[in-house]
Amino acid sequence: MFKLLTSDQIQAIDYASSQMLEQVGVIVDNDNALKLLADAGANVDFSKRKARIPSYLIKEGVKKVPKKVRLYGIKSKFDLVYEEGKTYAHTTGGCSQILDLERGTIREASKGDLEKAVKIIDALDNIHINRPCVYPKDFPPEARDIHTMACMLENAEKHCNINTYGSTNLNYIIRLASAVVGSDEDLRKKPIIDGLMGPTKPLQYSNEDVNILSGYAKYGLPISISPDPMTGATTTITLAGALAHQNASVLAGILMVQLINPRNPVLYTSRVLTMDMRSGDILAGAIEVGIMSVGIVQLAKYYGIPSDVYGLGTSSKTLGEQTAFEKALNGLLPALAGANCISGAGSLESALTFSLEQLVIDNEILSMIFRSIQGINVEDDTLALEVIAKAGPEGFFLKSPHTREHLKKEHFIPKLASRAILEKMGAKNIIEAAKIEVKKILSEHQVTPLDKDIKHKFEKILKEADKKLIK
Amino acid sequence: MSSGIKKEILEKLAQAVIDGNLEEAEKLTSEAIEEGLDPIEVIENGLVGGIRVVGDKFETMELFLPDLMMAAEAMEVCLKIVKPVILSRGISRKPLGKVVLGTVAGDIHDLGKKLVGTYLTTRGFEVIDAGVDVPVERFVEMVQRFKPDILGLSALLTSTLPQQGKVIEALKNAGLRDKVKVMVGGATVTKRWADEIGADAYADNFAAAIEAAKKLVKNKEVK
Repeated sequence: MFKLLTSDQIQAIDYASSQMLEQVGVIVDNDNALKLLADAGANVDFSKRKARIPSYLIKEGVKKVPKKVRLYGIKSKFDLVYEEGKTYAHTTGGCSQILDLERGTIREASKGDLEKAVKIIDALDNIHINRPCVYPKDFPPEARDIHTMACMLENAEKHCNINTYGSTNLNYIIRLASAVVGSDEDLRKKPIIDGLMGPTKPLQYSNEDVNILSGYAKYGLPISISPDPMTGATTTITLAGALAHQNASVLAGILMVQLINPRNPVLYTSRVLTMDMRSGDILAGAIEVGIMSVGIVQLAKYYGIPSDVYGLGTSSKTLGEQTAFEKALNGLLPALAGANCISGAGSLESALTFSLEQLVIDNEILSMIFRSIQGINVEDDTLALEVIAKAGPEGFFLKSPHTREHLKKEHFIPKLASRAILEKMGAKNIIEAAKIEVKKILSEHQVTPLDKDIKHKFEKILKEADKKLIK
Repeated sequence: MSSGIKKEILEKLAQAVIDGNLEEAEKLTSEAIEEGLDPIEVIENGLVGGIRVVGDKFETMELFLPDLMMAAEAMEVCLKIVKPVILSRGISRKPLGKVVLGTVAGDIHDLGKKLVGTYLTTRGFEVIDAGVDVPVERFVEMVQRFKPDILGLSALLTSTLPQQGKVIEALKNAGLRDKVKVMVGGATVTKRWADEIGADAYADNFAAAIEAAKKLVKNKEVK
């Protein structure tokens, strides 16, 4: 497995994190959480909203985290297990814009775009989880997260990750998911959704941050703890410091989850991005992102927690060369290190913009990444001494049964990255091929529609949410 | 004191600001005041002179954001020394423009706002930071109190974006709307949104925010 940190270095980072938590402390602006931390043995200053957490508490929290996490698809054939040796991929989340398929220009995303995206995600073999990739502008702003989730659950068959504006909104989202599986209890047993949350700053959990975290834990949903600082801006410019900082953040979040609901599954889902120091732009495609993701994966493994990192990120606004090389490099590094999930598929412009064609190209990149993880199979059958002997010094292997037998096991057959395929499709390059593929999937791929009575329940829940939240 | 020595002190001060050397800048500022230099000159030729160079070099990408921030920090530290002197003598200084910046209620993201504020300072604006999670009423209060040329509203979360519209409404109701230019900013802000709420300018990134602010001040007719 690919490593960038030695075990001494991991321990040094772990130690730095514990120093941060013990001495600098974490702001937790939530009375209930502060009380839980204080009762557990943390040094809490209620007026300053600060908790200084001793390392023995952190260790206890980490011990309670399940090593395996099961995520369920809306259709069971898409069930997943996050465990050692498994690597999956999901789309980026939360884009407000989309690259228009016809015009090639960037515009605000609509409900139709989200429906199309979910359909394509369903059809692509290398995207295993739906993340809310766009937040449509035609949904009311106060309840946009809820409507987005409803649209996703209606159109998807794979597992869905959720994000939410706040704990009040979360309740409606939970009701939607429960309606799909039957009840809250069914949802707890078979979570078809998992929850994403990120503290406002690594050592600052706001009141709503904690409410969201508690909300997920209340229903036993697997929780992705996702601090997302930027080096030089909201964390140190130095990579080791950034790793230690985000690590402290995740460990504090894990402890809170375990205090609220012991043995609640947790995912180590940090995103450390960099900033262009000339312009203030976020750079999701910088190589340091991939490098730090390797560090994050190694830290997660050290604690025995599944990891989800960036990923297929790019700072470029357009389809093309920069996008391709940034995604390929930053996607490959953490995968080789053993990440359980690689994020970012479909993203452009540091996840401000989503693109359906890019999603298809990313699926292709992911095929190559997954193949590289499989490595080289060395055994008698693949060393194939007998086959070589039979072919003799003249060595013609095309007609050998061994070749036909092992072709698909040993070689990734590209779906689009083949000159022959492009010619057949009438595409000049892979971008054109991706556009054609998008249209093909949209017209041909079938998803089983949601039951009528579940749809009715959805309508009812959305109506209630709108009434309560829209001013 | 000879004009040669005066010039030297101010040049050294400007350089200390350019280098982001807080200690040196502080020392030189105090020295300048003690030697009887005109405090306005200290600001204009020493501090602003230095920061303008930093701003120029930032635009040509010779210097980076950390350089900008440290230079601005040095300038802040020195202004704290010079301002009381100006106040006690009853003289005044006219900045290029006055800007109030704040992150709207329910939102505590402030990185973009900090960057924009710092940069505007380097370009000669007086920037008043209202902080984060600022309620509508407080923005109105600050416009009444400080009479800024520009009010900048920052919102990162799509759920807090509506607050920007509410502030503009409140300004209208208080009869203040035409007294200030309103700029809205944040990664998810769009022209359509800005037009919908009647903002005077918008920006979805740092560079655009600077351009928009410069334009607004150029076109100002209000003051």
